[in-house]
Amino acid sequence: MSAAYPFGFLDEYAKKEVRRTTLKAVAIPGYQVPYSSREMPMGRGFGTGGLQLTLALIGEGETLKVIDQGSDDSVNAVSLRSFIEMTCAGINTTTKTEEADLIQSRHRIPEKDLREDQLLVLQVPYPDPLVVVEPSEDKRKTLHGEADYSRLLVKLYEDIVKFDEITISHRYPTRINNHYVIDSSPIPRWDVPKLHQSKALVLFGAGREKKIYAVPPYTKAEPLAFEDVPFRVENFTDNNGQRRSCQRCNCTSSFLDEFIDSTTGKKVYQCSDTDWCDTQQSLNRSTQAATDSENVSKIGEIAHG
Amino acid sequence: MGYVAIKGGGQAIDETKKVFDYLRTRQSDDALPLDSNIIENQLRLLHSRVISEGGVYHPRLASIAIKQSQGDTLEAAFALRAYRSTQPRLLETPLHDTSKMRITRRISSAFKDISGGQMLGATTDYHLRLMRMELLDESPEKFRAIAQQWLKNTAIENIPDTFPKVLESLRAEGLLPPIDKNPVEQGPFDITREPLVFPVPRSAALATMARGEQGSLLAIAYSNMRGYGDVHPTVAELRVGYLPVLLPHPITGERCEIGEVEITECEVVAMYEEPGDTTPQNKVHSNMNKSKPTFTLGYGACFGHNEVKAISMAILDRALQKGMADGPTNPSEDPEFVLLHVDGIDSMGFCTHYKMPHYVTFQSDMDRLRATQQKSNPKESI
Amino acid sequence: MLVIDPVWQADTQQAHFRLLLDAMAYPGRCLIFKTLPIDGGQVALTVLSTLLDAEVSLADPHKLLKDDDWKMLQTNSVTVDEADYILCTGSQFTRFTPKLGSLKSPEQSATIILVVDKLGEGELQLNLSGPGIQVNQLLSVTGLAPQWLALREECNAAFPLGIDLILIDDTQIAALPRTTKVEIL
Repeated sequence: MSAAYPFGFLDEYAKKEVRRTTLKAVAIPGYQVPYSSREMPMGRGFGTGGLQLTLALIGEGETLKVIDQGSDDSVNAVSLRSFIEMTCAGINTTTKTEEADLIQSRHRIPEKDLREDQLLVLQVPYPDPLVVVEPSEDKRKTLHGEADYSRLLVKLYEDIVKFDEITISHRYPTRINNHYVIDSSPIPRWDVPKLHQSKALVLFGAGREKKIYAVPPYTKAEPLAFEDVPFRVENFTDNNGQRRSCQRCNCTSSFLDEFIDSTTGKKVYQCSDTDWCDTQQSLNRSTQAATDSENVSKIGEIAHG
Repeated sequence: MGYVAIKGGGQAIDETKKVFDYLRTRQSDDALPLDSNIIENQLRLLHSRVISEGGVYHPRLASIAIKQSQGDTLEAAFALRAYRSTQPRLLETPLHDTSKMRITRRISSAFKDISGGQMLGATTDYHLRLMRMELLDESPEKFRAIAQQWLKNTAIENIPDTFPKVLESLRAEGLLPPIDKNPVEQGPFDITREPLVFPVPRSAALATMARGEQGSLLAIAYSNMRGYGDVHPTVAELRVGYLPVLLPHPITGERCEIGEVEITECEVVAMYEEPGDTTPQNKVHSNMNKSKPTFTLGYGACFGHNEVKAISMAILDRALQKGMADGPTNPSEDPEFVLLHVDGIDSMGFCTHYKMPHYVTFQSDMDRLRATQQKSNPKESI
Repeated sequence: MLVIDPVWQADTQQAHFRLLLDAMAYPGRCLIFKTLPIDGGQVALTVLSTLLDAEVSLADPHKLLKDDDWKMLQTNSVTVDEADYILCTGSQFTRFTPKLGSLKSPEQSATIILVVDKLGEGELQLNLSGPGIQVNQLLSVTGLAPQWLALREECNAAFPLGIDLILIDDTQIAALPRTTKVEIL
């Protein structure tokens, strides 16, 4: 007795439902389209929504990148990637953002700008930004339909009154195409501006909550803010006002992970996006090599001059 | 400098699989692996539970699921559910009549005696929960003798195949609303094909609960029993047995039996006191469009032998019907609260996901807290 | 030997879905189908076979489909005002009221598939803007009765309610989601 699986693990009817749902999501930017959401062999909360999108979309010959926290090597990314490879014969995988046709990601958008021929699928635990002000889904749907986000704005305002700051860190509520406000998923605020006028289509899959939504390319994506309290990305400035750099590649323009080095016990900062970091490193090396060979020829000139 | 903390993720995962299976197999040098038949027979009620929560009646795979998950019911149900996702749905069966079940147990609390009698069957209800220490050292011979002995002493002809429904007698007396002979042709809601968008029909609620996690259903039903609710149920009938599954023949269209499934079914009768209306004759709940008041019903049914689940389900069915008609006044009557939180696969998945890396979002949280702290005490530097 | 048209096969449907997704994400762009139905079958089957099954419904008021096509689609035949998907000839306008969705559930709205003569050529010149379009996108069409665009305007007057359009000619596809602003030049 064997359990034989079709291409993409899901049966064709399941894929069709995901596909129909996705088209409506693109046609109604930011609206959470409900779908029945199949159970996957990995747990709800481990990216089953993003996974169902990938399995319904990907085709033979395409190249897939899977990241978690910006890294291809993170356990969850490794587990998802091997499952997709196992069930989708004939696809390629890569760690290089620019080589990927489809990128499935948990909690980050790659630093490198995406192209029109690329697709980004984000994994979403909570699709609805209004859940903090209204527990009933039925009532939330009415608020969304009417674009009534007054209670959400009041909540942000209360934060400002209490803390002098908007305290929302990730999952920043963002208005799409002047109507629906989305939960941008647990990407840091750093990544939210990438949704605005993106060249690539960004799809959001919530498996447990059974919703798919989308931010189409070249679409307005505005994080909620006030005139006098603007939207702010994460601050990587040290006590001396210097922007921190990645310990590995020296980059000062990427989102950095902060952690304690297990051997030295010191605080360390490193690019969260591993492919970005690798690319910066090799750029550094080729710049260094160019400088070195210049120096070598200069020395040669001096020696033989 | 190499990448810290997350390099070698693939290898780490492989090692977890190996050590997990090591724990399953390290018993002793002469240990034997669990046989699927042992699980299906000797862990019968655990097996029932996993089939029920997995949502697909596949006894052989349920045994494998229990074996590979080392007895974790949530993981076992999860494996079955994921298997179900790969199987295309072919068709719906026609409506089945459970009065035709091949009964193994059937009781009613509503009456002292009922047509056909109270058949206790294999219940633990009246057992004394004392440890049976002799089971520590059970020899294969003693084990086999038990079944052989019981069969020898049983007169098959004394066991009726099927029993009439208790509710029929209540119906005949007019204490229950009569069954609609021409119901509106409305297909059952398929929860595996459509998401729950509230308000949902009763069939969606029943289907969700039928594969709901037993503990979740019990806890919420218990809250209703204890006072966060009003159902005050009496079990009109609880039956356990085998229901023949009938499908139309592909050519003749005639219904034929393709197999049978073990199910547990519970019908409760509920009594309500209408709020603000204390006259004795109105102590029973009035059904709409009826000339006289009647009892109301709650229904629960699930795969396998699982009585706690069927009873909990029936109580919640009644509570939810009330909640949908009158508006919920406590959690067990609120469809969104009940139906969105009883699925074991959804809940355990999300609970488990908190163990995944969340350091980017945490980084973002730290940024906000530091900014806020700075604002409240700008002279302090971090 | 029985030959199954590739449009009914999983890999073709996946490829055509990606075209559909691109068309909807970048409205007005004309994209070429990977495979066409054999024996000159109805080109709309490329789209219909990719999207339809027993869970949704289709209306075919202009009778573009054969009985065999319906059998293969395994979908539900309903009237135009109930249908999830509606198939029509672009040059022939028929007035009806499709499903527009509701405020709470705008996705429960019709997708209309119009078979036109030619995409990318023709006297009807449309200037498109909105989500998916960087600034402007020009789309010319032959064989699209302008009354379809007027019907679309009417249906899409109250976002998020509305309908979404898919245009196909004998080799290509383009899409107009409800968010696209259409100006007839």
